Amino acid sequence: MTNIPQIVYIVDDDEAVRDSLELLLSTVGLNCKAYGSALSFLDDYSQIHQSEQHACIILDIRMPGMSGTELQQTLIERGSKLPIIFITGHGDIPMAVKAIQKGAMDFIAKPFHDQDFLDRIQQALRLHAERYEALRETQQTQQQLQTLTPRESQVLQLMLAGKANKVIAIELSLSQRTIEVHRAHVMEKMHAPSLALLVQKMSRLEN
Amino acid sequence: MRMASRPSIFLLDSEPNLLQSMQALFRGAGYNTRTYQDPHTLIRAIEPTGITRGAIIANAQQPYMQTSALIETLLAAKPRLPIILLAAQSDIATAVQALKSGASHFIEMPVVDRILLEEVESAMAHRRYHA
Repeated sequence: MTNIPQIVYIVDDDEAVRDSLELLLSTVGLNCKAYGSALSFLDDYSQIHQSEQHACIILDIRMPGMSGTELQQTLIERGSKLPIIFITGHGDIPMAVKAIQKGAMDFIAKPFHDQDFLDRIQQALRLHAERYEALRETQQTQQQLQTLTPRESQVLQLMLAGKANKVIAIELSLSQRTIEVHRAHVMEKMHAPSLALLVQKMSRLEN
Repeated sequence: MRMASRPSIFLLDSEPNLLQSMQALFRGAGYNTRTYQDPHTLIRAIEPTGITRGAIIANAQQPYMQTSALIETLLAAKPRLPIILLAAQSDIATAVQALKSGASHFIEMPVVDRILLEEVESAMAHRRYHA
C-alpha cells in the first residue's frame, strides 16, 4: 500500500492559483499535476483512472466552460472514486451543501489556512487509498469466486448459511467425506484461512 | 391518514417563538410535531421511541451542545431520521462540518415555507432509501 505513488490533481482556470497550490504541495513533497480547465482534465481521465496511484482532486468550483460542479457530475457518472476537494473564492452555503451531498469530500472557501488545507489533502489521499484497497479486494474475491466449480459454489452458499458438513451432505445428497473435500477446495480457492474470514470477505462483496 | 402513519418532526431551537412558528408550519402540513429547546431533552426523548419515519430539524446555532456532537448522538440513536440544520448567519466551514458529521441538509434562514417542506420531504425519502 505504501509503495503506490500519490498524486494530487489541481483543476483551476486561474494560473496564479495553480502555481501557488503547486508550490504549497511541493513544500511537503506531494506530487501534483495541474490543469487549466475541466476538459483538459477529462482528456487525461481514462489514463488517470487506470493508473495505480492514490490520488485526489483539488477543484475550482467556478470556471469558464465546464464548471467544477459539472466536472463532479461527469466523474460521478463515470464511476470515479477520486475524492474531490472543492476550493472557491466566491462560493456560498447552498453551493457547498450541494457539493458535499453529491459526495465531495470537502469544500473550502478561500483564503484558507495552509496547514489545514494540507491536512485535508492528506485525509483525501488516505480515503482514496482505502477505497482503492477495498475495490481491489472485492475484485480479487470476485476472481476467486470464478474459479469455483458449480458444486463448490453450492457448498460455499451453504457454508455461508452456517450449515455443518453433515447438514450440507444431506441437503446435496452427497457423502460427508465428499463435502469435506469440496469445503477444503473452497477455502483454498478463496484464500480463506478460516470460515470467519471467508464470511467477512463475502459480506464485503455485498457492500 | 391514520395518526400512526404520519411522520414525526422533532424540532429543536432555543428560541420559543421560532419553535412555535415551525411547529405551526409542520402541523399544518400534516406531520406530528414535537418541540424542544434543549438538545439533551431531545436526545432523552427520542432515544426510547420506536420512530423510524420522520426528521429532526435543529437550529445549527444553539447554546447547549456542539452541533457535531449533537448530530453524531442523534444519528447513533436514530439512523433512519435525517437531520436538517437551519442557520440564520453561518458560513461555509460550519455547513461543511455539519454535513461531514452526518447531517442530511444545511439550510440558510430565512427560508420560504414551501421550500423548507420540500427539502424535509426529500431528505426523508432519501434517508429511507439509503439508511
